[in-house]
Amino acid sequence: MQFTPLKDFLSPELKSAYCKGLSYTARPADDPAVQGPGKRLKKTRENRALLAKLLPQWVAEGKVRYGSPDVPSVGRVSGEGSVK
Amino acid sequence: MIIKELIALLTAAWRPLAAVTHPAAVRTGMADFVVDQLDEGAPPGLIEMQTSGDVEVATLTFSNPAFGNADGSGVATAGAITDDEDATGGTIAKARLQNAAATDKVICSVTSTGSGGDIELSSVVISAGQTVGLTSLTYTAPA
Repeated sequence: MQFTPLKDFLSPELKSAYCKGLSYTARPADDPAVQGPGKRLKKTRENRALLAKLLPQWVAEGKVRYGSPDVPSVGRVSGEGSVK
Repeated sequence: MIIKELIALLTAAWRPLAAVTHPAAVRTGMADFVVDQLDEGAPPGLIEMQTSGDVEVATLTFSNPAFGNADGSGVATAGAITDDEDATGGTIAKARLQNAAATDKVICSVTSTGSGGDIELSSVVISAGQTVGLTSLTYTAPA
């Protein structure tokens, strides 16, 4: 499910910053397609579950709305990386 | 009666907003058009990771060319991306995919793993001197 921040804000729970107008996607925590090393996989699932819990709260607080940014149709970027 | 008219009005108002779709061959062309712009000028292009306030945190370097040809469904996959082994540091919130002249071509969100960003990193809180890398990157054209 896509969502779009209505303002910039920081989520201390997810240790991530969300930027107004950019696109984000909440994905199922139990998606079997999610792979990776054990520790990373666990963290991904935990954060996805936490995001699903926080999202309705953010909508109620007016921080985000469900859906894509206001453009007719959007291309998508998808990537993964690490910090050492 | 009023409700019926209201529904008719709303339906008419929504019609021009209906999204269009593109055949696969067109999507492939669009994806190639976008990613080929990263190779403009004197490649390689760059991925500048920034804070929410647009301050550079780390800069990674694309291969030349940055992406291979898009597949039949409009998805282009980046070649190897060179790490930034000496990051400036800060909290990454977005990434700007740029040509060699640092002109933005694609802007996307970055979060920690599982937090919903277009790009997900194992951590977005970067200390000066850390290494930041991307192991995979794709661009998908609009449907």
